[in-house]
Amino acid sequence: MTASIGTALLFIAFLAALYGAVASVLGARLRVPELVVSARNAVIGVAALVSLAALALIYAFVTHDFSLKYVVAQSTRSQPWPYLFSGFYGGQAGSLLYWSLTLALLAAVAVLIHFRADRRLIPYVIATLMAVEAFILAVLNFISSPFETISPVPPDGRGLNPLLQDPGMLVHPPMLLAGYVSVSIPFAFAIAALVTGQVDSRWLRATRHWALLSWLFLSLGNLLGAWWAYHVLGWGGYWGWDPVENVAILPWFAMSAYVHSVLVQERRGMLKVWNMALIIVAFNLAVFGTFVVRSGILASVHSFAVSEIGPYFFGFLAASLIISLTLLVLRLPQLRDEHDFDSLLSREAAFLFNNLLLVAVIVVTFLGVIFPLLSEALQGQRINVGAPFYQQVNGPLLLAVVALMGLGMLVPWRRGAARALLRGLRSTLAITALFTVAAIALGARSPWTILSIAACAFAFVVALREFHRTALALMRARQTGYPAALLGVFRYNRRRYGGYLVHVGVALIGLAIIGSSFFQTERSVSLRPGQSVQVGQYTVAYQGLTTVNEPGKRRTIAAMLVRHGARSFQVAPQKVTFENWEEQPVSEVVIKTVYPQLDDVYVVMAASGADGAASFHVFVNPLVAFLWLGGALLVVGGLISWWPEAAPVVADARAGRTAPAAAASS
Amino acid sequence: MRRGLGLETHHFHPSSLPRGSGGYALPTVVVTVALAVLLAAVTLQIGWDAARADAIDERTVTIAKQLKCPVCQNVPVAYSQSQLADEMRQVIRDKLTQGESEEAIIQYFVDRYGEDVLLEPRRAGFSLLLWLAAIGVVAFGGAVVGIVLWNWSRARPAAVATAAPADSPQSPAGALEELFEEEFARYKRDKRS
Repeated sequence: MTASIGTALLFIAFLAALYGAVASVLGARLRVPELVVSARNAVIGVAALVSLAALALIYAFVTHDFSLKYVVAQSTRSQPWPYLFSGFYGGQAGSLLYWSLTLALLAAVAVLIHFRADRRLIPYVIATLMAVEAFILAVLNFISSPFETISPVPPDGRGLNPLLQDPGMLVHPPMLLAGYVSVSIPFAFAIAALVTGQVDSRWLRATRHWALLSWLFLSLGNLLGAWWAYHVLGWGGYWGWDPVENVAILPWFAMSAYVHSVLVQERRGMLKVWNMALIIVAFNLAVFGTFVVRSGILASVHSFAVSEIGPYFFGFLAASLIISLTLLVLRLPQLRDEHDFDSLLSREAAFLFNNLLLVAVIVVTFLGVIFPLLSEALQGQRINVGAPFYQQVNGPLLLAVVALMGLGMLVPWRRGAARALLRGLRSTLAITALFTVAAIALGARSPWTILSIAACAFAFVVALREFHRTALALMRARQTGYPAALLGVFRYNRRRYGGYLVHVGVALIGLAIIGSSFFQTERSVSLRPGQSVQVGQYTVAYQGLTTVNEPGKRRTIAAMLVRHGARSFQVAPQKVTFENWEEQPVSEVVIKTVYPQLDDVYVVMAASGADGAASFHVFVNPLVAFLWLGGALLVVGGLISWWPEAAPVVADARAGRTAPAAAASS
Repeated sequence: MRRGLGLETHHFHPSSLPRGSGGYALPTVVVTVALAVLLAAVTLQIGWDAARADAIDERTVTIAKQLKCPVCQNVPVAYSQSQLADEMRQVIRDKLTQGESEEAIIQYFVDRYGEDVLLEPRRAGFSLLLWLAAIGVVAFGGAVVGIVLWNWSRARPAAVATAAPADSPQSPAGALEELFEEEFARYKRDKRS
């Protein structure tokens, strides 16, 4: 029953999406506004239909309807209810349904908001979004349906992979997929601008908030993914440059570059072609990400060839790249920049260089991701590209990005004066030097380490300095106290200072990465009860094992005592074996952050023997706490920057006093 | 404190800059403190070196980090929880104890599992292409930057050396910015008088 309803809903949604794509273009070409209105209604209809289909799948999960193949694969009767929801997007068909749901909802909201204001663009925005939606719905209808039935109906399901039965997995995939999907909105506006020839900055302003929203989703998706990996995978780190992680961060790099380069176009009418190209790349990277994660292409080119959806995604990706790049090339004559660069020492130049660096990171990472496939196809020998490659190539590039991030906040638009800049920087540089020397004192030795710390410290100090400077000026102008002025900074220019808060976050994340990659200490040992191991300045003593049986799983718990100086605390790493998944036990890692050193003591039980002996990996990871703190600041800063401007500003703009509104958008 | 954060100088309006009276006090203090801390650091380091951990264990991890666990998805042998990785770690430890070199041990695994076992592609043969491509990308980016720089420096000789002109409020966007900068400059003048 649920299966047939779901199938029918998805099919009607597919037809409605196709109709929307065709009707909007016809309406615009033949100048029939009614057709465009009906296309808009089709967008809303698709959103409603796909939402109902998603509800049908959730209903099937909640009622344990094992006549659905997908429900059998992703859940069991004993699975806790939150993980029934993660079952929804745990497999290929469900995650594609989630993809199409998010796109349908975002498209409906975007079309409703922009229908009047961007009348000339909107038909092609609808057409682009509905074409993408129709593709995903076609895959869902004809190739990989979550409503496929199975007969005879099994009494219970196989269940979700135990690694995914974790709170991190409840939030990470939906955020990341939403990030992928939301790149479509600015992309659709860019395509509409190219088709209509309305290539002034209007499409950019219309999509400013959408681009930032997408960046926010991608940031959250990646941060939560890192958090999940750190707490669940048990190898002592949060980022392994795994191909799946790489394709998740690629669109983030592209959008990070984009939210900066659009500022240059808005303010100076420059980098027009660059912005178009960047959003096209970002969208295609997002599709590539979905495609890579869901097609099995990573396992091998051979499994890709036999994968159900692989060839279709590949075809879509090729078509989308060819169409969008052709449009871009045809419009090149209209995409002349309005100004030249005035000076190397200007904010626009800093943005341009930062963009170039980020694009280099994207290209190199992309090469690394596809190289195993290339080598297998061309040489017959699969060559693995792991973390060491990315660390060596991306490390220096990202270091330069951070350093330029600091410099970018200092130089003014158009042209800065080197001498004045240096004079203003005296104390900033002094404080940066102080940080660096302190780092050397704490054990930094290699030039790379010292340079990285200096770059992060510089960006951090500069961002704080900008807050401080502006707060002082506001304090004076508004006769308020310092704390009020410091908060007022965000209201004075929400977009800019939200962005600077993001920069503070990025600098902290940089420090966390430096701390945990250059200063990690680790030991892998086999211990009998009563024995202990020394890791860095921590002594970890193993006391013994206990086993607890729970419904659906068995826990083995180790009791351990960690001593550090005069302090000590108890930790209990566990190993959990799930029913149906005996060959894949999951370690429950213990992570204890020690203050004020900010060391994470990270203990994993690798294996346990019958005689009570057990083997452990013990890591001491300094500064990882900064990753989560920096991540939180980054998200909050992004939100502040994204938050729509307050009403009075809009009122001013309507009254013809455009200056404050325009300046607030700088 | 305010002085210490670089407030007395301001790059938008160089004309309003105060001529430094005692502005070098802070750097002098910083250098003194820095030297003192550096000295302390060197002393500490000597102590730390003395307390270094067991060499075989450390070398095992170093080697195991370079190998991919053949039955996992991109997880180094060092951290994999699979049975196979556990055995591979034991093999590394045994071979190290027998005095084999790091290169020999890695070659042993490459012979058994193929080049796929290496996490970092070798800098030889077909894998060299990847490294060359990566270097090529960075070099190409560098060349683009270089050309841009060269064009600018030709188009505007000595532009950077001249003092910055005030961002003229011809665009409405610059207007409030302008007001703010003026306000800031006035604030600094008042503070001094």
